Amino acid sequence: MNNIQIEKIIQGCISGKRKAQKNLYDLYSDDLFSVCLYYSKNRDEAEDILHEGFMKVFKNISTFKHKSSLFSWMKKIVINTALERYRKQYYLTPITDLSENIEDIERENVINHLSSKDLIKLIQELSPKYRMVFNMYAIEGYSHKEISKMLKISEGTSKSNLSRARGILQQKVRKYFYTEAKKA
Amino acid sequence: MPEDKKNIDKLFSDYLSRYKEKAPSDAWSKLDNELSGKPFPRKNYLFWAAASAAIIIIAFLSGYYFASMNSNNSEFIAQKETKEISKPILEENIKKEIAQTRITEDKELEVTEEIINNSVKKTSSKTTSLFIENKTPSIERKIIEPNILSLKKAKPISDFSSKSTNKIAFIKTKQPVFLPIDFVNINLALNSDKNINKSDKVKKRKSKIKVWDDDVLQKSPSNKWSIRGQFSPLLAYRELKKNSSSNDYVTGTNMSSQHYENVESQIASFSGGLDVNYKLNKRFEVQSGIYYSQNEQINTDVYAFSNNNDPWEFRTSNGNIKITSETIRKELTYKPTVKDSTTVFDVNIANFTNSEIKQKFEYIEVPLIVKYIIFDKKFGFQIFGGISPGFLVGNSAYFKNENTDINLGETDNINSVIYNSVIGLGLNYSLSKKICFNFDPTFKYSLSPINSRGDFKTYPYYFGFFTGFTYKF
Repeated sequence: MNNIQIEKIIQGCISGKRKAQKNLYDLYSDDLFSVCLYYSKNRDEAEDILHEGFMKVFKNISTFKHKSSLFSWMKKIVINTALERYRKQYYLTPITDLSENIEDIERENVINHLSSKDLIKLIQELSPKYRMVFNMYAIEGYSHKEISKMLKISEGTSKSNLSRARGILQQKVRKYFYTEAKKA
Repeated sequence: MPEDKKNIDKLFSDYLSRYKEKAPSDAWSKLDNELSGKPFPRKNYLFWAAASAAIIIIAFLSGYYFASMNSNNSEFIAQKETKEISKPILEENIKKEIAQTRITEDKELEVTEEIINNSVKKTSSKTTSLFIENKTPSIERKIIEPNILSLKKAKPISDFSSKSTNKIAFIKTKQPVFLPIDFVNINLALNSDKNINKSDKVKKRKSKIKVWDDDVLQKSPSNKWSIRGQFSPLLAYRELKKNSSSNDYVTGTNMSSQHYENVESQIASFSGGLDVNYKLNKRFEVQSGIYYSQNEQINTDVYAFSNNNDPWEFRTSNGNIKITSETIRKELTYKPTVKDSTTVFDVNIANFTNSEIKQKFEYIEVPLIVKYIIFDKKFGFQIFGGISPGFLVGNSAYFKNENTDINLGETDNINSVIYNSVIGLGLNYSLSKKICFNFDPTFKYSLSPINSRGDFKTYPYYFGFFTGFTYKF
């Protein structure tokens, strides 16, 4: 889809045209849903984030300044929605024991031992505070300073959460490799 | 290791950045609905959370209710003597009478003696008023099922002495009528459809009806207040500072502080008491209370002094003790005395060998302490500091040798108040939600001397290991 078509969709959304909104949704919903998945603990929560994110996009699309791509702008909104949700709830789920849920990973989806879906599952198993920091740092590329501001935590906390998240993920991945290797 | 970390970041970043999963098929229709102004059928997390909470509460209350039903020790609030009647009769009478009673706007409802008397089948000339703050006109009261929440919050004023639960209790004017809490309660309700629009108001005002005296309990703060009992033996000693104003009280001796250090020792010191703590916030706590502390000192090098043939007295670093005992005076007449020529006055000195003088000082202390909480979990740790004024409540002295044990009275010129500074560490371990064991290594140093006159001013200091238990409200 070229820029002219996208601009047409944006203008249609600004005018509140449902068809334009549907087009925008069809264009980016899958990509954004994938983002939602690794910022949430399960599909239901990801769906809620996607819904809230799109509502915000439709409401605020007139403020889109074309400084970045439309997708980047929408992705930022979706991530902010996830962060906002995290800050509001701030639930602390226990750190999953490595012995748990490993068996839940679908073996048939394993391609080269690990698929993206499996990795998402591993991320979803993280405690929210670790998941948020890891995603923002390792995947989105935010600095600890930026993360500390966005999550309203100290830089030190951001660093330690990242370190803990990495440690847990490393163990999970190793364990997963080991399990799969044995199965193979 | 850093390489591992980068690898894990890269692994997830690479995989997830190219990952794409189809959005749920009904996601658009939900968005469409909301954009059209229709409510978004969100996942009913709240509903399930509320339902789970309700089930737990109902289960708990049911257990409590049945436990109460089975108990023969239900407590009712009573200030007046009442008669025992059978439970069914009482229930029926109360229901009958109260159901007929109507509450009028802004009025105290007088529950006449007739209602009460019919209920309890006893005669009484008193009128008890049921005080109801309600502005809704013509609301009929009716009996509803026992309100367990009210039951839980009801504040017993006094135990009802009778063994039976079938009691009714009366409170004086402006106090509620208390009915047997385990099977009757009063509630307001609207019985007719025309009053439905007022039902919300009624519900809000229901809480103001002082049927149960639950106002007090509702205000109880959680875990902010705690009370603590502590005790500690004290490792006590003192610092002797030369009294710069001792010219007005010429002792006539050249006793050095070193001499007193050698011959005097502290014994049997301890402190214990109760204190109340109030937690200001997550980090700070203030504490005050009342402590008794006792400090005893023994002087094993006993000399009696007499300046210019004044009455004899024993001297200690803390002050002089007048010898009023006839036994000691008689003994002095036989003792060889020496004159100390180094002093400005003629001083007669008599030595009592194999004797000791014991001085006992007792204080009531009112500490004012601020605590800084380092952490407060199952194991808690604080640092604290403050002052602890001590009010002298006991001052006694004893002379003791192998033959005699004589009360000498008191040491002269002991200050009635001393001001101790206190610092310490607070360690506690929670034994339960309400109770914790605490152990506070504490150092106290008196900022003011215990004596006002004498060659030396005595500043006691103590090391204590206060041990006790805290009860959290």
